[in-house]
Amino acid sequence: MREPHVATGPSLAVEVAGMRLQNPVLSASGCFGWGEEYARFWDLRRMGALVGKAVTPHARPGNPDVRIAETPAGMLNAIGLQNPGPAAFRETILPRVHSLGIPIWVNVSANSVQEYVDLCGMLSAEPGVSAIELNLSCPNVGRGRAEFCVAPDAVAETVSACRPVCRCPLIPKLSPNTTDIAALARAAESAGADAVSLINTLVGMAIDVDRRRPVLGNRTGGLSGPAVKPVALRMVYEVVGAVSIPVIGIGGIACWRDALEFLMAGATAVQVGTANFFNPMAIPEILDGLETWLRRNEIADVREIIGAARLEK
Amino acid sequence: MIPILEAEVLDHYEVAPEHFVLTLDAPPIAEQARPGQFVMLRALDAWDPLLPRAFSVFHADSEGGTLSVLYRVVGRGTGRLRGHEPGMYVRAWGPLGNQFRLPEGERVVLVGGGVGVPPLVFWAERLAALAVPMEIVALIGAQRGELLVGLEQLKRARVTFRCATDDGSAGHRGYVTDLLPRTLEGKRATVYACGPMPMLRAVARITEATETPTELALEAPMACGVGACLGCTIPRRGGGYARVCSDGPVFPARDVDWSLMP
Repeated sequence: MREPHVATGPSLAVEVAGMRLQNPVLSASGCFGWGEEYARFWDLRRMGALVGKAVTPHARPGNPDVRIAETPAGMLNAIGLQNPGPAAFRETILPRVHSLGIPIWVNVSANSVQEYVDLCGMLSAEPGVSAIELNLSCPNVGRGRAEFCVAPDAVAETVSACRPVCRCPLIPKLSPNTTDIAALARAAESAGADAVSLINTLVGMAIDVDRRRPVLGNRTGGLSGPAVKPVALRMVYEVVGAVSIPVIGIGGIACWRDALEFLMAGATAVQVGTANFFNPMAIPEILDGLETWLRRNEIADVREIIGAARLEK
Repeated sequence: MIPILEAEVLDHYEVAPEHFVLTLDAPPIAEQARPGQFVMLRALDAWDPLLPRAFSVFHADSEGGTLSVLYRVVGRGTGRLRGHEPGMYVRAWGPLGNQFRLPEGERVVLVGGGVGVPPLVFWAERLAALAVPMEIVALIGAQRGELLVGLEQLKRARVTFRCATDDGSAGHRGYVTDLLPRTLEGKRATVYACGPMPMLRAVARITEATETPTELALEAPMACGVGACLGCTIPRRGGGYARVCSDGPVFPARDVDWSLMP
């Protein structure tokens, strides 16, 4: 006799720029360390891909205090890209995360086109690096960059310079601190980007009225958390309509319903950031919730709902 | 694995004006908690305030499975926590961070200010239960007498203590650190301190001069509490930053770069 029919779970697998991801739920850069902190809560092999803390051309100690401020349904951060630099990353961090057996995306951040090119050349061919996410949008490390990441021609220049030296998929992460995010995405696509991810944080500020000065040592910081979700979702929806490369949705995703909204807006995958901070189980809970929702709605494949909420013009 | 659970509030009472002791049913956390460590607590349905709050462990009963924290209502996070009556639940994860290391010398001096007292009480209880003979002296400070906390627990652990208050309403009138130099005389001591930053700075200055081993349990606003966000850093002597949550919260006083502390 044959075994009775066993219902298999829905497929959560997606494909981004030729990479197969076992599910569309990733960590967001800067919100997950290099995973070791969360490996003490759950099995990291469950996630679609691990996107780690930004790597810069040289080690950075980070900004002086105060680095974070809580705001309504969100937080501001001005960490200042604290990281040990590419050599230490390659020698001590990469071998450990590579052994997890899940795709590893390396977020790189720099101050000039040449530095981005150098970082891509240095890291994209390393065993264990599945993709490079170009952090074109960190708002906390100096004026020059904040300007250059919000103009389409600067995005195009950086991406087209990196593309020939980058040996793996190249995914620019876009800044929301711009007037036309679709233009940034189009510039990235025509310069050879394999996908785009968005949004990075929105530049914001908080003031301590008792001390009569900005709360953050850096004066301004990047706003993240549930407060930014509607803005992020709108930008993702808009960018999906403007480009034909995959879009990775980021911004305030805290539960499976949020993730589903981004997927229905047309994102191929999502990244979970600040939610990890207030719920270390955010990613596995989102995965469980997505699977339950698909099962309940008798949807066999998560790809069926990608873009499901998009309206005809 | 670090336990994370929805923990039932078993008891929640005011010990001093605006100071509360919250006791949770949290067996896996209570079993692992060591003095100096902390837990993250968060209301189940809250998005404002968004972030969990860190509380040092005041008492952990591994047999009964209960975990207590002692906190002062200072803002939105603790204000929200205050509303949790017995029978309600909070999300709790921990224990997190490192712990106090065993003392050197014959005398242990605990210096606690305000809501910095709880981890020292937990440490005093554990030290007093050790089979090693040692003298434990606690110096406890607060703004005024009615805000002194943890004294009953210290009495029960048979720990000698002296108090200081800003207004002289109990014990010495002045800073708790005024009592420290004399307490260090005579015997080799190890100092453990927790409290406001100016108090810790004063402790560090005094014990550096006397070359007394000193550990400080630090407090900092945190987002994650587990080492991922890099938001709770302090300047480290010799350069760079240390994370209060995961490189600490207990640091040797000499490891802190006081010249860069706010």
